[in-house]
Amino acid sequence: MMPSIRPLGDSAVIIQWSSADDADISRSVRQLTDVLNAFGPSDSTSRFTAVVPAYTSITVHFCLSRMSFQQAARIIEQGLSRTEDLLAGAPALIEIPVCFDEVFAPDLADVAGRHHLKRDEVIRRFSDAEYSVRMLGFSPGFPYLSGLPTELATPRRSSPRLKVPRGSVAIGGAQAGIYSQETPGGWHIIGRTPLSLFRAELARPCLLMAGDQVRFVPMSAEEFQRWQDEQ
Amino acid sequence: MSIVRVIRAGLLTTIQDLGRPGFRQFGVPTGGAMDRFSHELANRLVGNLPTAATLEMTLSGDELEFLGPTLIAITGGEFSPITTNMEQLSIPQNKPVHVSAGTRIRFQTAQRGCRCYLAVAGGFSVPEIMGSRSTLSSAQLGGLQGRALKSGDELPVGDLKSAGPGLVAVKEHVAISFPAWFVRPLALPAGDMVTLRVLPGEHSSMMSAESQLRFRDESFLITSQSDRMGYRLAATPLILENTSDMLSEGTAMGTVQLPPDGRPILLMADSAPTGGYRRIAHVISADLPLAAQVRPGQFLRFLETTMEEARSLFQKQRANLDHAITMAGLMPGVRVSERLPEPTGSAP
Repeated sequence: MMPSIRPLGDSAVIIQWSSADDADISRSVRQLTDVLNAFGPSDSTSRFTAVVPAYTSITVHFCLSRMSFQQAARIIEQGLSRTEDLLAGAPALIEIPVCFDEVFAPDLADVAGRHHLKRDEVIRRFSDAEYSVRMLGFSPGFPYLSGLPTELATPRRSSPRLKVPRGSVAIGGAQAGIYSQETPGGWHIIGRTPLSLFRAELARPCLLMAGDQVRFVPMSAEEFQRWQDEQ
Repeated sequence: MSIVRVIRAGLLTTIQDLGRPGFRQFGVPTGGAMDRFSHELANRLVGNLPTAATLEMTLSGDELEFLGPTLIAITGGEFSPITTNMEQLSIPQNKPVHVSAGTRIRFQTAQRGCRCYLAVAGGFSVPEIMGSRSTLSSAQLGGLQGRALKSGDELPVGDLKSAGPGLVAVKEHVAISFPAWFVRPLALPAGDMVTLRVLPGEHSSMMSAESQLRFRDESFLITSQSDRMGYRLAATPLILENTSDMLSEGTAMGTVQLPPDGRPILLMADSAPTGGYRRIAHVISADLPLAAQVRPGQFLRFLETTMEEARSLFQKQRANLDHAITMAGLMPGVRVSERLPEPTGSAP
């Protein structure tokens, strides 16, 4: 499946896939991102300043005094031909502990009520599913997750909260996400993880990367507390 | 190590450099100086690398005290800097200026432009976070504790040796001194109407035919809801014929987005790396420094150009910068290294 390659302004290129099969696109995005990221400093003629994977696209930024759109597009085409011999390794599976205790889950009752489910049933279904990180965005390290069971999909809150605590696990439409920093937010908050999703001081600042698989593991309030004390 | 003390903080002054482009994939905005041309010019005038951190002042500047003798350069918007601890001397812009220990300089309200840049030889040496010293206020990181300057702050200045071979001997006995020459600065907005050249966005044809014409012909007010993340523009709302939702995709500094309310947003340095609104145009790289110098209350017009012209204008701008710096090196008064190595991810 060949994506389209089009300019995004004078110093970026957007590579877009269209297909009915979500998993197919997700794999293509992950593979090409890996290949483009691997064009390292030793290969400076084909180096991009940024490679940004999203749901069905990758945006590549380049330095305008170093290359033109045509040159960037050629490098991307070379990258695409290399993805074919790339063995797709299994994505990393990362477990995220989540406390669904009421203090951390102001919208859990509401979400349960809307879908005529018991709280515990929402937690069970939410934790049984396996999610895939489609992109990082909104705020540094915020993962957009696909894989939410359809019966838990909940439209965003009509008025966003001004402050959502860091680590809040939330549902927004058909997606799930984790607030990596304290920011405003309009998704339904159903739990909280004690893990840090974004630590600017680390060489690899994000816990999750596009392409990773995620599972949520329920934890008690005591465990949450202990975890936080240890950090 | 020298120190610059903030006697009285301006409206919004932050430490900036060329940002963190490589971290966009983690959801981190590139950030860095809004007007990269003036930022780099200031750095080059004092012998710094383009990656050194400068101060970016917005609309109304700070009063600063230089605790040690140093070499500075001021570029970008015209903030009429004057000395305040001696006879009120005007400090000229776009040239290197020696200041003696204890000199106080007050940057006033911008007469023209919106942002001015102050470089000191050695650069402001706050810690690097994710490869950059730039302040990202939205995530409270970088710069000085991730925030704008406050009165009483003390800004560390880097070691001159690490800054490159740009600095001449600082004259201890003179309060301030500077050469007669100056380099050609960025052309600041001449009036309240500023034309920015754009390339069409992927979704421009999703606007109604009438809106496509209006985008080309009308002027757009830069509203007060404008900051380092982006400028919210006001005009008769532009109409999207295709209002279907889209998945978030990459954006860039200079992207003009059209949200469903029909009021375009011009994305600037601190904008998020991705967005879910339609992209109707992209301001070309060569005009982004000018875009950084317009202010709320002024108007923008968009003029369509071609990819080829966008690239040649950018290269011409780079050549002007290089030429200015070469000239500076030949002039008496300051010594600039032959040809400074380029930072990663920037121009050759």
